[in-house]
Amino acid sequence: MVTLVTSDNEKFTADKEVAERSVLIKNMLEDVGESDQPIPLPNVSSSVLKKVLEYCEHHRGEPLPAADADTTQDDTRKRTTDISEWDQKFITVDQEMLFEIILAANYLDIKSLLDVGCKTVANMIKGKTPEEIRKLFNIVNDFTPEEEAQIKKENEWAEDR
Amino acid sequence: MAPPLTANIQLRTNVDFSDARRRLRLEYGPASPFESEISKTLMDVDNDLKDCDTELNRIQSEINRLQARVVFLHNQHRRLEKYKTCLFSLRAPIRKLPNEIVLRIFDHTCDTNELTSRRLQTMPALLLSHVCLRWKELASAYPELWCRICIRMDRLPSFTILDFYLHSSQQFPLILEFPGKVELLKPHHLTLCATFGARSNQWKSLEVQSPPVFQTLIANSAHFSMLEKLSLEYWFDSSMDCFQNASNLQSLTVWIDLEIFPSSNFPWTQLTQLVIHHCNPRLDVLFGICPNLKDLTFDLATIGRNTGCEPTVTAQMVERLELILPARIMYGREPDESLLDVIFASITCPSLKSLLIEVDNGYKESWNKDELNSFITRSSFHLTTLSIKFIPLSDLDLIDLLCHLPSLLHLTIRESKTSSSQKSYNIGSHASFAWFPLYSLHRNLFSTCSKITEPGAW
Repeated sequence: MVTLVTSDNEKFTADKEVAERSVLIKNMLEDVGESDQPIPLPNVSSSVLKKVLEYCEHHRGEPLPAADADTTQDDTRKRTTDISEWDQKFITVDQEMLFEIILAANYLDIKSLLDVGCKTVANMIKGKTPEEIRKLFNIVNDFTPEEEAQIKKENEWAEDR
Repeated sequence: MAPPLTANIQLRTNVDFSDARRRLRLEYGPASPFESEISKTLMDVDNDLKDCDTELNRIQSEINRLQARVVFLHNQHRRLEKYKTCLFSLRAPIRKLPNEIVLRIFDHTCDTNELTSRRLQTMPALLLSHVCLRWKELASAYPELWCRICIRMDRLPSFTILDFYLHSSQQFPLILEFPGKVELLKPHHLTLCATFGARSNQWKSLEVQSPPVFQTLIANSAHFSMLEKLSLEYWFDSSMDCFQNASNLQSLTVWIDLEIFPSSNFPWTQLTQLVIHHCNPRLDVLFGICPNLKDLTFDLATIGRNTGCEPTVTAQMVERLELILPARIMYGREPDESLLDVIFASITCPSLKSLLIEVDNGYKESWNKDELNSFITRSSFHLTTLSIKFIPLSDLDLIDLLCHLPSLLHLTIRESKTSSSQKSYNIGSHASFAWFPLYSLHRNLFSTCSKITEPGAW
C-alpha cells in the first residue's frame, strides 16, 4: 500500500498498482525504494485526489500508454472525442472539479485521465458559437474594437456569425 | 442637500372659475363695473404666473440633475457589472489551465475544418480564435489546427477562408479530405486542385472521393515527400505510379481487383496499412506485393468472382484485421460460401492482436464457428481485442469462441443496429468471469451471464 498526502493534509492509502497509474507517483516510488514514507502531493486537494483514485481504481490493470505515446501517435487518423460510458459518468462533475481533475492528471502524469478531461472539454466546445463558448466557460470578450472589427470582417461569409 | 421636489407656492389670486363664469354671463355693456378690481386681480395673476414659472424652472433643473444622476448611476452599475464579470472571469476555472493543456483541448476540438459549410462551427480552428485574445494567440501559434482541411467538392468554397487556413497552417503537413462526388469539374474545382496540387509536398494525408478530382490533383502535383496516407474512392490504375517516390506512404485505401492487378511502380512494399473496398480475396497476390502489412481492412462493397486461395497464405506481419461486409453483394456473383469463411480459410495470421468483424444489418449467413476456430488454431496468435458487430451469434457460440482466446483483453459485441447503444459490463461483478483476464467488455443483450456458472464449463 502507498500513502498519499494531499495539499489539505489529508492522507489516502491506495494499492501500489492503483497509485502507480500516475507516472509521477511511480517514479517517486522508484526513487525512494521500499519505504513507508507518505508521498506528498502539494498540488492536489483531497476532493480531487479522491476522484483521481476512483478513476485509477476502475482502470486498474489496464496497459499504460507508452511514454512517447503523444509523439508517436498516428495523427493522420481521424481524431475522436469518444469517451467510454464509465468515463463519461465519472467526468460528469461541475466545471471547477473538471478542470481540477485535468490539472491533477497533468501534474500526476496520468495520460488517459488527462485525455478524458480534455476530450470532455472539447465536446463541450464543439458546435457552439464564440459567444456561447464565452458564456459556458465565463470568458470575457477581451478583443479591442479594432480586433473585433477584424473578426467581423473575417466572418462576413459565415451564416452563423 | 438638494431642495425637495414638492412645489412650494402660495397664490395671491383666488382662482374662482364659477364666479368668473357668472360674471362673464351677466356683466356686460358700457356700465361694466369693477375695472380697477380686474386690473388688480390680473396683476396678481401675472405675479402668480411668474412665481409658477420660477418654481417650474427650479423643479425642472432638479429633475435634470436627478436624471443626470440616474444616467451616471446606470453607467456606474454597468461598469461595475462589467468589472464584476471580468473579476469572475479572472477566477474562471478554465484560466487555470496552462497553455499546453488548452492546446491539447484545441487539438481534440479540431478534428477537421470543413471550409465549405459557410458555418463557423464546422471550422473549429477559426471558431476558437474568435473567443478571446489568449485563445486567438494560442490557435494562431499552433499550425497543426489549421492543417486539417475538408472541402466538399459539391459545394462552393470561400477562397478567402481557404487562403487564411493555408496561411495559418504555414508549411506544416496537410491532412486533406475532399468528399463529394462531381462528374464534371468546374472552374473553382480546377482552382482548388491547382492550389492544393502546388502544395503536394505538404500532403500528409489525402482523402478523395471523386475520381476526376483525384486525377486533376495529381496532374497538378509533383512531390509527395510527406505523404503517409492515401484514401481513394478510386480503382487502382497505373496513374498511381506517380507515388513511386512517396517514401513515407504507408497507408492506402483503394478499390483494387487483384485478379487484373496491373504492373506498377507504386510503393506497395512500404505499405503497413491497407483498406480494400472491392474484394477478390486473392490473398496470396495481396501478401506477395504487400509483405509488410500490419493493418488490413476489407471494407467491402463488391466482391469479385474468384474467392479464396489454396493453400492458405501466411500474413506474417498482420496485427490487426478488420472485416466490414455487406449484407448482400452489390454486384458480381454471389459467393458459394460465406465471405467470412472464405477469408478465415485463406489466411494464417500468427501476429494478430485485433480482430474486428462487422456486417450490415440483414446479414443472413450463419456463424461458422469451425472455420474461425480453425483460423485461430492455425494462427496460434495472442489476440487481445475482439469486436463482433451485427452478426447473429448465439451466446453458446460466443462462449465457445472465448474459450479459444485466453489472451483476450477487450471484447465488444453489438447485436443489432436498431437496439440500444453498447453497454459496458464490469467483469469483476460477475464471479464466473473473475478467472478471465478481460479488461473491458461491451455487449448489449448479454443474456447468458447468468447461465455461466463454472469457469470449467468454458
